Amino acid sequence: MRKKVCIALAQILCQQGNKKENIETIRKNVTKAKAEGAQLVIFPELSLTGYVVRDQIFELAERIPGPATRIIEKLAREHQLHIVFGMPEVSEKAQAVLFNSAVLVGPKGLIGKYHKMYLPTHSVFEEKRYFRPGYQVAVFETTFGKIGLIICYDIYFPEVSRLTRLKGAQLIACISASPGPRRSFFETLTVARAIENNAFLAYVNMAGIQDGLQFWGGSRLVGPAGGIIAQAKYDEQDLVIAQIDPSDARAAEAFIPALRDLRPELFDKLKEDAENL
Amino acid sequence: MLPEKETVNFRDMNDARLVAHKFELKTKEIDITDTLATFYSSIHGFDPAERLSRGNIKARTRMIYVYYYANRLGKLVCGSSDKSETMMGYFTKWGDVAADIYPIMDLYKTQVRRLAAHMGIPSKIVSKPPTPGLWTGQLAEHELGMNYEQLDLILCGLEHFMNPREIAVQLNISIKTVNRIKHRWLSAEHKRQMLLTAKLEYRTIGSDFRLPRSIG
Repeated sequence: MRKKVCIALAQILCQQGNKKENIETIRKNVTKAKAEGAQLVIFPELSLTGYVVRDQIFELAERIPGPATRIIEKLAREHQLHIVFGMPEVSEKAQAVLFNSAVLVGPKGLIGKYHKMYLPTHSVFEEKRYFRPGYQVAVFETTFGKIGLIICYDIYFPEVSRLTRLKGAQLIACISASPGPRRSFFETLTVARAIENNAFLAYVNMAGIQDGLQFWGGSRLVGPAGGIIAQAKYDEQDLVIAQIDPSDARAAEAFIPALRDLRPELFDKLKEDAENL
Repeated sequence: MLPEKETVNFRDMNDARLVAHKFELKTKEIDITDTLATFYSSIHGFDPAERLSRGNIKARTRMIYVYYYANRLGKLVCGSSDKSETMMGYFTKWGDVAADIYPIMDLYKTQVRRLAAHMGIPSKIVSKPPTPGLWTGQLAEHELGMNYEQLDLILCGLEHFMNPREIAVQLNISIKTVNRIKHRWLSAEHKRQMLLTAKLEYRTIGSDFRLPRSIG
C-alpha cells in the first residue's frame, strides 16, 4: 500500500430474502461511490440476502463463483473498482453445507472469499444452526495493497485480525450485521483491533430493522493509531467515502510498536490454556 | 376506549383522552356492557362469582373490538404490555396481550414510567397504580404481591443470569421471595410461546420452522 486509497463504507438497508432488490441497492451505491472517486466499496455482512432470513437461507445461498458474484464482478469491471460484500455460500461439495462468507471482487473479477470463523449462537443469534465455521483467515493482494477480511463477531477474537495482519494485511475490512445493544462493544473493538495491529480497519455495519432487530449502522474507518477517519450515521443508511494514507501506518508503528513487540512464545501458552478452560 | 359498567372510571377515561389528544391519536368510544352481558347469559352454567374466568371474557372481548378496527382500517394492533407483566404472565392469553407489535415489551414497568415522564405524560398518570380492569378494585401490585420497584429489580437480576441468592443479598430480601418470582416467571412461559405442536414431521410449526417474519 503506497498511494492514498479512497474507500467507501456502504451502510445499506437490506430487504430480507430479496437478492434482486439488494443487488440493485449495491449497484446504486457502487455507482455513487465511483462518482466520488472510491477505489474500494465495502458492504455489510450478508448484504446480498439481509441478515434475518432464518430457514430461507437454504434457498438463498449460492456457490462462489455463482450468479450473484458474477453480477458483482461485472459491476466491479464496469466501474473499475474493488467491492467487498457478504453472502451465504453453499459448499461446492455438498448441498446444505453453508458458510457466512465475505467476497472480494476487483476489476479483473473474483479475487477471493472468506468464511466467517466465529459464528455467534447466543442471544438473538443462531448462526451455528445454519453455518459451518471457516478454518482459514483471508488476506488478498490488490492493486492498492493487502486486504484482510473478517466478519462481525470475529472482531471479539483478536486472533483473527492478528493473523490477517501477520499475513500482511494493511487494511482489515470487517463486515457486520450488528444490532443496537452491541454498539459500544464494536466501537471499542474496532479501535482496539486497529491499534494492536497497526492497521487500518474499515467496519461496515447494516442499517434498518429486520424482524424487530435494529442494526445500528455507525460504520467507520479507523486509522492505525485508533483515530476515527470517517464515521457513518447511526441507524440509517449512509454512504461515507474517505481516504486512507498508508504513510500514517509508519508513524503509528513507530509510536506504538505493537508488531515489533509481539511475543510468539506466549501463543503456545495461549493454546495450552485455551484447551483447558 | 372500551368502558363497561362494572369497572368504568371517569378519571381513567379522561386520562386516556388526554394522552390521545397529546399524541394526536384518534379515539373511538364503545360501551361494551351489553356485549359482555350477552356473553355471560349465553354460557350455560355461567358462574358470575368466579371472577377470573369472567374477567378474561372482558379482556378477550376488548381484543375483538380492537381487531375489528385493525382489519377494517388495514392497521396493526399496538400492544401495551410491558416486560414486568409479561415475564410474570400477568395478562390474559388472547386478551390484552393480543397484538401485532409490542413497542414497550422489552421495558420494565419502572422504565416505562420513566419513559412516560420523559415524553411529557403528566405525573398523575405516570404514578397511577396499574390495573388490568377486569373487576372493581383490582390492583396489579396487590395481585403480584409486591411493588414494581422491587419486582423489576428481581426480574432484571434474573434476566442477567444472576442466581436467586445473589439477588436476595443485593436487594436485602429473602431468597424465598426471589424464588417465588422466579418460579412465576418460568411457569408462565406457556403463555408467551404460542403454538405448541406435536412434532410429527420434517419441519414443525412452532418448534422447528425458523422463518423471517418479513419477506423482501
